[in-house]
Amino acid sequence: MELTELQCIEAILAGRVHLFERFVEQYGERVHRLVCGVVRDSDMATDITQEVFIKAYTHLSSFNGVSKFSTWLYRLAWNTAVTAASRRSRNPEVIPHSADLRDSQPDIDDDQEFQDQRLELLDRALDSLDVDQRALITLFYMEERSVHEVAAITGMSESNVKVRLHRIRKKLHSLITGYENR
Amino acid sequence: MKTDKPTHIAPESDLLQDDLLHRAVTRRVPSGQLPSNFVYTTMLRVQEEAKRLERQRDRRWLIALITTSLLMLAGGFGTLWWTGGLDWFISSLHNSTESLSRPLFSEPATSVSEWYNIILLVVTAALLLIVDQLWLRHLIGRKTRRHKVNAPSAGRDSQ
Repeated sequence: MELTELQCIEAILAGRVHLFERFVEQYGERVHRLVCGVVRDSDMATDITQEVFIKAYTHLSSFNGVSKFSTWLYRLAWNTAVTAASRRSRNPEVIPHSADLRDSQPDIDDDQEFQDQRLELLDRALDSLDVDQRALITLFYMEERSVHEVAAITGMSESNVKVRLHRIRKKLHSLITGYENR
Repeated sequence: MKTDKPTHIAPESDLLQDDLLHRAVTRRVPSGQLPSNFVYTTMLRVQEEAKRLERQRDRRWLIALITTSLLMLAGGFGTLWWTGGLDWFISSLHNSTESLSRPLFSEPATSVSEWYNIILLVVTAALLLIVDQLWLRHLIGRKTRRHKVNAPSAGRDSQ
């Protein structure tokens, strides 16, 4: 008989640690993608993803079942990734530029992408955002999550998420306008 | 596509359509995947963490048990001192030690105080056991969460 997530968590807390593997298998890739979106470094994201799952195990008893387990896990991933990205942003020499990242993506047709001026400008504008802002917009647009989900993951209220997203878009718009006028 | 878009976006930001932002954000993210042994290495670390938590729980339990025992002892001596029975206790304890050194069943216990001391010791031991089993372990289990490390079962649990 298949255990539900809550039953599985109860069993893990009771000592059947190996059941935790189910969560690592089920959510590993998604957590990694989310972390990648924030830190923009695949290797670093892998380490952080592992750290997230170990934290999740350590704090599993604090999961009260009010929200979905995935939301709770993403929130943990979000906090860990934002902290790591903020720490790294204090050492700007190690932040890979978006252009370097594109070079490492064999699936993307570089010629076509580079022809899109608006995308280029937007890329530059995204680079100049704060870690928090960049992470939020990544979570919303890359992961295609609803405002409700983003609010649950980030711990902000829905209206706060909307306001922040609005401000980020406004900031991006003014940055792009600035680049175009140069 | 996204269904829950913010509906309050100002007209001046029309330039930044959702689709454009989605593309820009997506292409910035490295396309790396998790290594094939990720689940294995993560579970190894989780097992280590589980063992660490178990050791931590045991250490806390031991410290709490010692502290509780010392407090109970101090409370007992304090009560005896407060009621003026400390001298009586020491002398009866001395008598009890003497009676214990005598061969077993050679003669019946000499006084009621000897039996009283033995009963007192048994009651104290029982009390300590009850405190440990019912309260201390429960308290520490709650504080350090209920993580236990069981020996892995022969077969995999159904998931």
